Amino acid sequence: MKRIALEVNHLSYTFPDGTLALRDISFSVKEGEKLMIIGPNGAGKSTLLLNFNGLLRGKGEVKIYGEAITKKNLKKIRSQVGLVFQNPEDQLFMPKVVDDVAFGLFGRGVNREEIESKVKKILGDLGLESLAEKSPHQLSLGEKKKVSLATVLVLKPEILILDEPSSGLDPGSRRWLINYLQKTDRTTVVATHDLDLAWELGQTMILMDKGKIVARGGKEEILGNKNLLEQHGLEVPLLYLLERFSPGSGGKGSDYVFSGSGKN
Amino acid sequence: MKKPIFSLDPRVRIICLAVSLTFVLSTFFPEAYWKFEVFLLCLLAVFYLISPKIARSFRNFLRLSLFLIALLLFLAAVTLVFSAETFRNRLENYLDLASKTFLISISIFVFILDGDFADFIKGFYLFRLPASFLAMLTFAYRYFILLRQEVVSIFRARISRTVKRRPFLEEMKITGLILNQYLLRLLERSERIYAALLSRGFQGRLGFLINFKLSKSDYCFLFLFSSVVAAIKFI
Repeated sequence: MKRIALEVNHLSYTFPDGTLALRDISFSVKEGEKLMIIGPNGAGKSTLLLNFNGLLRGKGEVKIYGEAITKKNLKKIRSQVGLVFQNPEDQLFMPKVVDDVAFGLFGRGVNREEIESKVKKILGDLGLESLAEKSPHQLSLGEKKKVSLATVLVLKPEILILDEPSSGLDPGSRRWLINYLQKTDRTTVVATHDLDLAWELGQTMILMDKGKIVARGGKEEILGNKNLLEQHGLEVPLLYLLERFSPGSGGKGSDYVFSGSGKN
Repeated sequence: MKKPIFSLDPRVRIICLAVSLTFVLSTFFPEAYWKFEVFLLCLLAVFYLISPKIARSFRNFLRLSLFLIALLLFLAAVTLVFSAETFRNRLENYLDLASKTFLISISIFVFILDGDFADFIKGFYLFRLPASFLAMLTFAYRYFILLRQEVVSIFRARISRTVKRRPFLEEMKITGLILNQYLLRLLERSERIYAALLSRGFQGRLGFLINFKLSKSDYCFLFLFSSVVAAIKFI
């Protein structure tokens, strides 16, 4: 039986200005599972992710492999949970790509030879060797996103957390990202409102709105529920329609097209 | 010409800058008249040898000149107002300050700004400078680039929505609002960057991977440059 990698119990978070961002969130993710957290803008997805890494601490409990996040074990937790931020500009701060990828390893006291070989390997795996000596500001958005991913993957986190990984990516880079994430067997949590990406990657879905979990289930159950999605400002992903209403399936795809009757 | 005639290790650049600063700050008038001229020629020769892209560097050089002109005018105003009693003394004070400022700026440009600033930081790292200083320098460099991007994007957004010129006071008010927005963005961004640092286990120390090493030509250059500067100083 697979272990529980991530467990959230009755988590609530209020911003310093009094805005309630998360309300009584509870769920768990099994080891190796790919969980998609979907929802409209301002649903609280990014705030929730920051709680998994101890960057924000709300009321309630977040457990990583059964261990609740406390001040004392933050270092350990952050080595287990790798967080890729939505905006790569926030993630990349070293003068060169190679130093940014090596940053976390230096922080863990890994010796220099090992760091060099690990950095070389991850840059090779992601096809980023040619960018190693460039400065982050010389990269395109897609390249920056890939490098951001490399900076986290090099640390070999047990749980990979991605915040809007496909936003701003061109189709080629987006496809690369999807292929990469499909291949990895790491426990992965992705917050996104790119529902096609969620459809391709996810096994289980959580739908959030206004800081609450409004639905949880399998991808067919959530992404095929037109009314539910529309109520929360989303629409049925095209890939779902293509798979369901391809020739010979007998369905009528136009029933699933966004009607505009939702909250937006 | 894309590549420099002579590639210098960042550590050699830093030492050469230190040598230049020591020379400039320890040389006084009246012998400084000719010594500074010879030193400037020496710097220009070095600039020609180690500059990676002459055209780009020349453009930077022009920008630097504008900055220098403004700085020298400022110094002129300060020395003429606050300096010694007689006009001759004031003029000497001004020449001393202005020439030193000019040469220090040119030295920094030739040895540091014209090269890769990231390598320069790595050079400091190899000299085992305090971790806090290195962290400050690294983040300042990254912030500077991000801030420049923010400024460009804010002003582009403004220009794209500006149809006609507004009265002066209104312009000032809008500029104030833009600055306000800019500072807020800075604050938000710094918080996010700090969160990213923490999420990867930042403990206050930075490490760098070094891909350069000192060669014989670096040692030769350092020896030659130091010798020439010493000769100018002591002859």
